[in-house]
Amino acid sequence: MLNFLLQRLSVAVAVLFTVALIAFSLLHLSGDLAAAIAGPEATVETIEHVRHQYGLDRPMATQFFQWLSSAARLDFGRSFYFESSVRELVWQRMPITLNLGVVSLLLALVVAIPLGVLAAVFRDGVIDRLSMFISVIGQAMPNFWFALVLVLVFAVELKWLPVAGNASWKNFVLPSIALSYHAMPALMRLTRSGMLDVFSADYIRTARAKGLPAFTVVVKHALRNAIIPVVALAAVELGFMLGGSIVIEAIFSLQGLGQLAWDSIARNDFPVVQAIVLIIAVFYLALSLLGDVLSALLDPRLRKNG
Amino acid sequence: MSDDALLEVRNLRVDLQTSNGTLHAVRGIDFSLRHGEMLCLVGESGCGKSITSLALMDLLPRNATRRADALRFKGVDLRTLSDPAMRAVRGKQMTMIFQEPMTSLNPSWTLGNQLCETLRAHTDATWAQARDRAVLLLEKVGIPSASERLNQYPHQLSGGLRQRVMIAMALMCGPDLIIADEPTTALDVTIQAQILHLLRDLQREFRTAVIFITHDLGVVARIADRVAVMYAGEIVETAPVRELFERPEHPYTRGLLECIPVPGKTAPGQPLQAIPGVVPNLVGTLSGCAFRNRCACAVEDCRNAPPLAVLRPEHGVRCVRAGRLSGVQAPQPDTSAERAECAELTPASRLAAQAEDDVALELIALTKVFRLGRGLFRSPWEIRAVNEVSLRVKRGTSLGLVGESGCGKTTLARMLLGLMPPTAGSILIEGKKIDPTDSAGHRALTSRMQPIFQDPYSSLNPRRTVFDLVEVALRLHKVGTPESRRIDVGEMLDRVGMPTRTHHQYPGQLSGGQRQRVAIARALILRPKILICDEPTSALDVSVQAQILNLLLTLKKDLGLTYLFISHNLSVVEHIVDEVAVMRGGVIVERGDCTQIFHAPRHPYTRTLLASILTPEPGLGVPDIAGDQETGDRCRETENSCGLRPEKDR
Repeated sequence: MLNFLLQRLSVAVAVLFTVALIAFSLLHLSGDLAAAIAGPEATVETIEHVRHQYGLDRPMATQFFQWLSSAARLDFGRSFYFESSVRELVWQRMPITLNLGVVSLLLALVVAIPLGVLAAVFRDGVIDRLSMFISVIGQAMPNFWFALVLVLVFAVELKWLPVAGNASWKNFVLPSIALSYHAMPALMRLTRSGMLDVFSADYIRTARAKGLPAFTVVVKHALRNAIIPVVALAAVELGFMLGGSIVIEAIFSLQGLGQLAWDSIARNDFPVVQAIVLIIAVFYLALSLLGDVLSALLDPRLRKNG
Repeated sequence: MSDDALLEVRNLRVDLQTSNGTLHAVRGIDFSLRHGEMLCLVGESGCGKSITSLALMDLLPRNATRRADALRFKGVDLRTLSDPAMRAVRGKQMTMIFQEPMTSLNPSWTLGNQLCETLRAHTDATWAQARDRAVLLLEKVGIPSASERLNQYPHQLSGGLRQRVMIAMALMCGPDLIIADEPTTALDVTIQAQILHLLRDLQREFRTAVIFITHDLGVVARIADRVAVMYAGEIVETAPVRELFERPEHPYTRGLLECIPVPGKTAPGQPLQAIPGVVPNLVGTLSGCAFRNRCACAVEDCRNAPPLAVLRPEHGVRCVRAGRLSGVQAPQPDTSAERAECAELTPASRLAAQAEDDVALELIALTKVFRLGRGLFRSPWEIRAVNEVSLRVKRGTSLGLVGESGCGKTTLARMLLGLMPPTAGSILIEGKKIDPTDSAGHRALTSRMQPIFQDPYSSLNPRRTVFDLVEVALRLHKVGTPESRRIDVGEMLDRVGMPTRTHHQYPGQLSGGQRQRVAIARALILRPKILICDEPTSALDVSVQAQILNLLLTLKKDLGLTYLFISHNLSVVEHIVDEVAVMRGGVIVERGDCTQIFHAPRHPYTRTLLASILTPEPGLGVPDIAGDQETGDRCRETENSCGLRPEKDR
């Protein structure tokens, strides 16, 4: 297990370094940052002054490693726009995005797993067809459009829930539904196909031959084995949600990381953008690692020596 | 129904809905079982024996329907039971042991959990009580340090131990009936003997009735009280075990008994009495006797469905000529010609062939080492799957390589075929050293040496016709013109006994035996001198096995072939080879002339292997193979399952 963890960890560090390098290069290749910061009416002297002030006149490599070493100490520099520490900015916004992501994932799992199990148990039945219909729509429909429909129906027409903002838990209901509906189909279908695979396994026949109640056979013997890949996928989906919440946060004006990233890109506030890219990458890697560890813990055969 | 009957089955029928129509898997069978009796259901694959057991347990697949006039178990008609009531019977009074010990236990739960849940589902025993019973039963089935095993997971145990756990699980609630569906087929011969011994002892001790399903007449003879022979969904003969083996009545039963090689009884090298033809298709209606197309004694009357005639007490036969065939020797139209051809291949001539000092294949210190477990904190460790094996096979003779799973015999074959580079050592074909890893060497090797694999179901490309499958080798080696190739392939397919109408069929349309014939034709089309036969008949039914063995014997004589015959089936090896090499743990522990090995084995392991052969002789019982054999081998076996077999785990 330790061996396995160390292996995965070293890969993760390498990936993280690459992500940081790409994020850094792209921002610096996107134009003259000093000119962008100084504004459209700045004189040549002002631009040079800004360039020197922000250290943009130093060699690229120096800038990169300086940024990287301070980032490792969780110091991401200062935002050009807000003129405050990036760390604090991110720290304020992160809980909103994390809340949204975790709630959406739980919502997706709560719907996807029972639906997938039922679809497999009553294969080709009404539930199976219905859930397939729902999941095809979920995968085909762009989630910003679904979010707008939700707003129109539940906020504008029925007035049950607020349109935008992040004042109370009510503000999170619609964004969570919109975000989870996008992750749900893949989880549901993986549960269903995993269950169908397991149902034909010899040990399920053994369990039935032992005269166990149907519920025990399905949940204890089948789901326990079918869930292993679902757990790994769920962790990865959470990563997608954290990264993909930009659109949803923009629609619902939730002041989360996504919204911050969106605004910062528009304002050329590159320390903030870099920091968010890096943080999302860390989350993503940590979650895939978590997924692997969880599936190893769930499967005694993987647990053995690693 | 007699008073002491535990189970009474009358006119049981099972239909399966398939894409080709309704398959009548079980076509009206009757049998009964007394308390504490061991009934063997024996038959070839597809005869409906497993479906019968699943029908009793009400565990049939979704596409199956069950009908019966009576299914009485302990006086209760199982047909009338509701689902929960049937569930209360299943696992408590009637339990089952399956064929595949490797996959029949849930990998995610501990053994203790899986053992205890059975008892907890049927009684109000506490976990502690259930654990006590589990420990008791694990000790009963011969598992050392039972209480520690409860916390282990199935993957930590070898196949033989897992099957012991399955048996303990079946005994948890003290059942009246255990249905064992081929419980030893997936196990090595020495382990098979131990498990059979155990089952027989437990059955006597607990006075449990057992329905034992198998295709192996050797097993039947050693453990059964009564036997029911199934063919094409019917019971064609039923009798007490001694009676059945000594006075078989039905032509099918007699055919089955004659087509298996028995060391010491059948003459080595002589053609076996194969049952011609294949099992009829059970889709659609089948009228009259199902066996009549393969039966040498068939008469006009056989077009009418024969009733089950009771000849002697407890001896029933479903044949219109029942009772009039004993003593009548079945005419042998199919094999008499082969018999004449092979007549000169008596042991004396086999020895003469050996005398020519003409080595076809020679291995010198061939070694294969698998390096495993490279890790950050672990030094690599290695397994010597094949350890300095040296062998010589003389031209025109056959060498049998025997051993149990994990002994390295398949690895050896793979190196010979150039599918795996050897770590050390060399391969000489007709005196010339060949490097199978370079392309010229590989070409030279494939033109002289060809394989026949175990599983004809997966070793033939399903998208090519029979003709293409055989012709492709000629095309790859750029032999002849399209016209000459057409003639060559046609001749070769005729030679292996494939009728012309099958030449443009796909493997999916062929039976197992036909597929293996195609595999043999494919191997022979390049006119190789050596055939590597890796368990060529172990995936086939016994009646088909006899056909293929006869074919291999004829081909060897006609074409002057040399065989390296790899098998775990010692009876088959004894029948077909001249010399035997016994392999264990990657080394050859004993080698010698076939007669010497079988009659005067020197190495203790060879003796154990020979003692495990179950010849179909009732009354001999199951040989007692030392129990520590298996536990001592456990580490070796578990290592094998994770490392020694780089190919798919069987």
